[in-house]
Amino acid sequence: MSNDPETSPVVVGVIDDGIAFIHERFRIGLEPRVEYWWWQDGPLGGGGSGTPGRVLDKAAIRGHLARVTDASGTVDEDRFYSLVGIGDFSINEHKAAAWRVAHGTHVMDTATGYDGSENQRNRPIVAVQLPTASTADTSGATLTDSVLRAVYFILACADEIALRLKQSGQITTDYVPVVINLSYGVISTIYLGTSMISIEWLLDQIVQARKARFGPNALEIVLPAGNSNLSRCHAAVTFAKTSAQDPAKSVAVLNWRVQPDDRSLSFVDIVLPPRTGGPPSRLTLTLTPPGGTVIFDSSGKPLGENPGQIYSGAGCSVQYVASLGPAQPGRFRITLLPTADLDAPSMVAAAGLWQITLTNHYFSPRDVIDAVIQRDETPYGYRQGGRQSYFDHECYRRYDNGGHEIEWDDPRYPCVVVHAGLLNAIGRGDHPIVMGGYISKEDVAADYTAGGPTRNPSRPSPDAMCPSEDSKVHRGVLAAGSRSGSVVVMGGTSIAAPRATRWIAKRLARGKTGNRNDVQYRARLDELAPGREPPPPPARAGAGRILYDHIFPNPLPRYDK
Amino acid sequence: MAIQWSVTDARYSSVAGVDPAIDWVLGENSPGPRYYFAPGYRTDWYSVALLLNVSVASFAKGEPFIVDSARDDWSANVVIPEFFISAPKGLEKLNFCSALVTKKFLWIMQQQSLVPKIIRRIELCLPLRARALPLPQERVSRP
Repeated sequence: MSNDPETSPVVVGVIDDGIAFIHERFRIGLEPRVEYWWWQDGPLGGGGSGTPGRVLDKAAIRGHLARVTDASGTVDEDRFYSLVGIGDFSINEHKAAAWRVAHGTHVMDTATGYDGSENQRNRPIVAVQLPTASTADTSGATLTDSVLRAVYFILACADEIALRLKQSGQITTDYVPVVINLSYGVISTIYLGTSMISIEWLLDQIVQARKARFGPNALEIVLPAGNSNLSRCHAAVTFAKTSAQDPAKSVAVLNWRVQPDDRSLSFVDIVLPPRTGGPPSRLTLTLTPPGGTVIFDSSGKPLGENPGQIYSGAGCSVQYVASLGPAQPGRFRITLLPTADLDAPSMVAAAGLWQITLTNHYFSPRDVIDAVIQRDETPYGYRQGGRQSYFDHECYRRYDNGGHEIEWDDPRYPCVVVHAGLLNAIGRGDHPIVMGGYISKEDVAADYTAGGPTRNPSRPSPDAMCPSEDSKVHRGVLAAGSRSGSVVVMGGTSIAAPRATRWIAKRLARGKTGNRNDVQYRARLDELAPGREPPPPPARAGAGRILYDHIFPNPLPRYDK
Repeated sequence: MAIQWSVTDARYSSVAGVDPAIDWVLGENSPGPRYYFAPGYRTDWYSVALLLNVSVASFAKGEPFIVDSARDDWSANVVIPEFFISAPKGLEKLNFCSALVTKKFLWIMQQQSLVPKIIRRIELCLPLRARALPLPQERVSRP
């Protein structure tokens, strides 16, 4: 497999949406570099027992490719994607790979795209296309199973690839190192210790187990820090007193701004600290819809920590989700119906300012109650669905006197709504590598890149930053569009993550490790390079900003330096 | 004038370890199904992630917690991809998986109090389209 004696094969797994996987950057001539492609939501076929969707192995991809290649060697890519289904316009569904800009294609090119002339045979690709519903989800259900299936599938494929390489004498080990890129972000939903299964915990278990079996370079998973820094989706509530000590100082009101024409559900999670004692309801809440009518339960009391009961009214429902143990946090989940629904106009909630009134019966001023709004945006290219709600408080300063968006929490202007703690909820585990984004030319943090802290002491922040924008003027970075020969722009921490993936794959191929420590070490070294701007605070930058040159020594030219 | 809540008892998630979204989506007169199943996605199968107290292989067969006579019924209502049962190298001892289950599975889970005895946690995940489902009678034999 190898042309370069210094490098050995590394499987690059990409879990994404809209992967145009026969783009020339993923081929060597007419030979695909994608060993396996799995469309989790595609028409059933090609997978093992119990595997949903459509799986194509390299032989099948090669076969389809041959069918759409003419005598001159020109590939009819539209026909190819129509044949495999993701570009079949007889089906009424979103076709991400048919758009000029496709998230998965851009990400996969950034992670492991090579020009055919480079003859890169040491980066076999396993590509997993998530269900459309996972990408556009606003239902409150999670993508845990999609991600879990994808990671297991990639590792099962890597085992098959390793077996083949060993049988042909190209490797002597029982495994091939794997690096998986998952450029997805979630704000809320997943907190360690609630009754849900946290993806970050599952990913930790998988990385640990794989490394325990094969060694420290067996598996790395790379995630983005998320783009939610300016979203106003996090409120950190503290109380000066309890209701028994001082009723006036035991109340906090959160202003939840729900936008009109939001065609999807909206969610707020109010996460309580782990229970160490106290009354049955340490915190109670009431809701006030736009218009000022307070909602109570049937006995006229605020809602308390009553697991097992669902309160519904005014297009809203609230449930307290029990902890699994005394050391685990519990939470209230507030679910709001869409504010617009042409098919069911009676099943809507009011748009406007919803007030969540919290009353403290137990917590001390040191205890922080996190209120987090779930991500609710319509992804690029998808039909209009959700509109992001946010906490709307006068104390939150959006712009400075020069009109620039404020990216940091300023202790001189304390506010319950904070930038801190909006790090991608999937990226809060011990092992995955989490990347923030910075603007390459100006050498400053991208304003959207999210940061810590988190409730996991091992994960106070992202590990480091990679460039996610070329400059403040030239937004985004260049990488493959959906069809061969095209180059498009896309930005965000989704792009910072695969840049780290590429660098890590290079290290693993040379027999080195490519874990969090290595990424942080690289970033610390790069921060020492002469002429750099002062580093952003560690809560968002982690160990620092990794320079572009380590990842792409010859980047596509975009502006004169 | 205050608006009063209507209060209903959670059928499944009254037990810690069960995702409240299951009640939201399966509850009678709940608007949940409308938003859980995007247009074109409505099926009888629900995607879940499971954290287990037994091995995935045992769970898939219903051993030892389902009586022999009910095993076929169990297998007809839960589908687990092969790569969780014969896990990739190194992951053999991890007791979690994703699965497709029916309402009947959830009913059995509740009736037999499988949470937390057998299932430590169950989380409702996004549905798959009907065309993608590897239903028991359509399973292919390829490994």
